[in-house]
Amino acid sequence: MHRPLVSKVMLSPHRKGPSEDAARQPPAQVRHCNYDVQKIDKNTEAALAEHLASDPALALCSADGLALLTAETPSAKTLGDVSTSLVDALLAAQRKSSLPLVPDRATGSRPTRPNMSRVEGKRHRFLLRAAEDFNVRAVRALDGVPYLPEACYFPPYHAAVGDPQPPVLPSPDLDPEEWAAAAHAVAADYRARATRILNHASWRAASAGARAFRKRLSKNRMGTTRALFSSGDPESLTEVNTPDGSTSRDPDTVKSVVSDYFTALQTPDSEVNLSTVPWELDLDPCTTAKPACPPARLGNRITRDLVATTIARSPKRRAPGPDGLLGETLRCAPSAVVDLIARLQTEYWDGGYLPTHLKESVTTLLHKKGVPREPGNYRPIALANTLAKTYTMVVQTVLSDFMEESGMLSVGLFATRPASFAWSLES
Amino acid sequence: MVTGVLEDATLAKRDINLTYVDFSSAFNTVPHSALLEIMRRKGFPEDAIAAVGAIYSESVTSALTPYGRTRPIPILRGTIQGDCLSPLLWNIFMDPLLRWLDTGDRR
Repeated sequence: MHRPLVSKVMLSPHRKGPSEDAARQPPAQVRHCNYDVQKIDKNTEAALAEHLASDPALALCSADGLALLTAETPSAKTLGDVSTSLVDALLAAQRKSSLPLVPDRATGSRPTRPNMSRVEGKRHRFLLRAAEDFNVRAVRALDGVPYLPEACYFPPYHAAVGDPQPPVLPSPDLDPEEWAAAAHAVAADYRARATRILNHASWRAASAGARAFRKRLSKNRMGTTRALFSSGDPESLTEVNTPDGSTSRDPDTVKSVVSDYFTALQTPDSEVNLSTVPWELDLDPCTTAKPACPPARLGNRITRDLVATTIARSPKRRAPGPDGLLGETLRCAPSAVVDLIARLQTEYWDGGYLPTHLKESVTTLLHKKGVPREPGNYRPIALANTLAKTYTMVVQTVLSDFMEESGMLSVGLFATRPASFAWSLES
Repeated sequence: MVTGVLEDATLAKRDINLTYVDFSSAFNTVPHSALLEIMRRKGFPEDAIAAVGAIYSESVTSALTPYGRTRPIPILRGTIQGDCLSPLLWNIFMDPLLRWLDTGDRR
């Protein structure tokens, strides 16, 4: 049951030598979504909202779209055009705004030198230079160059760095050999002091790191241990097992193997035709649970209020979908845009239609377990476009409200239901 | 909720059997046609069925590999991972089984 963590790390099959690691690095330009939005505060949010509200292109686009939608019953093409141009206008406004986009956190550099204070750094530098100086003087004394009076060639290092104990200088009465030996001794003393300063600084940095680590450990034991023993970068799919049993690193092969895997996963083996399934009528699990008098349509439940609430709830600091529109931008959108979005979503629902650009998503693959060469060992997470996410959130609210009020779901079903359901059972 | 049931069983000194079912790749395997048919039989209004159908018809994704995006992959079955509608649709899909277990003398 209990396995020591260290042995796990040493036995980890994904550990590779440094040269292989360098070869596994993907080319830099293909990184997608490699930016992050810093946590934006109230002021930035207000500034962004003001920027979006004063954007003329966005205002024009939303007014045009509303006029186009109210004039006539819009066709599918009109709906698609309006929503595409809305996304374009929002994106252009987002690009012009001063949202604090920062590069990926993983690329941040780490300090490699121990963090010495300014005074310490100065003392360290001066001591090293003094040691050098004394060594040079010693060699010159041996060569017969007469040493000058102390004040001429010996800069007052100890005064400059505030050294509390000035070194014992060799006396000018000695002969050149003795003087040189004494000067070398002073240089060694200076060098030792410089090393002591450096060691102290590294010790302090290390103990500060240890203190921070202990603090993290006391707060989040599991996470800290994982971070400590995890193998650096997350695994990525830079090479795959091909169907014929070999491994390949060719970009085109990798892409085709991955897409084949997910195509097969998302294609049904055979078409299921439920209308011909001979269910027993009295026990038909679906018909027995029908609501008594269902409303003819639910489309009128998509109100502007609902859409506005959903937009206000749209998450911050999430990776955007393929079009790159951020949730932050949508939250700060002016009310004309919210009007247009509400109008568009009503039309989507009534027409049973969704524009193609909202049905696209990017699936990121997070390594889950096992060999990193198998696409099946990755957890696929679809990054949908922000507008599509808003629409599915609205649909989810409408459907879940309808299902809860008509008592459609079995009381034995607990997964992913609103918390109010559990409370209703208690009473 | 499970804790409450266990407490009741302990207080009543009765035996209780718990079954945990973990469906493997559950969200990936829902056929769209079956989902829409179940919605129809459960009495969802037609416009709701059409709207859900529209979200899933012809939806495509492309996986992101270290070498860039793959070609578009059609989503012909399964709900979209990470979409907030997915758990709800999964509930709709699973509900007939739970009812079937509950009705008749199949307990």
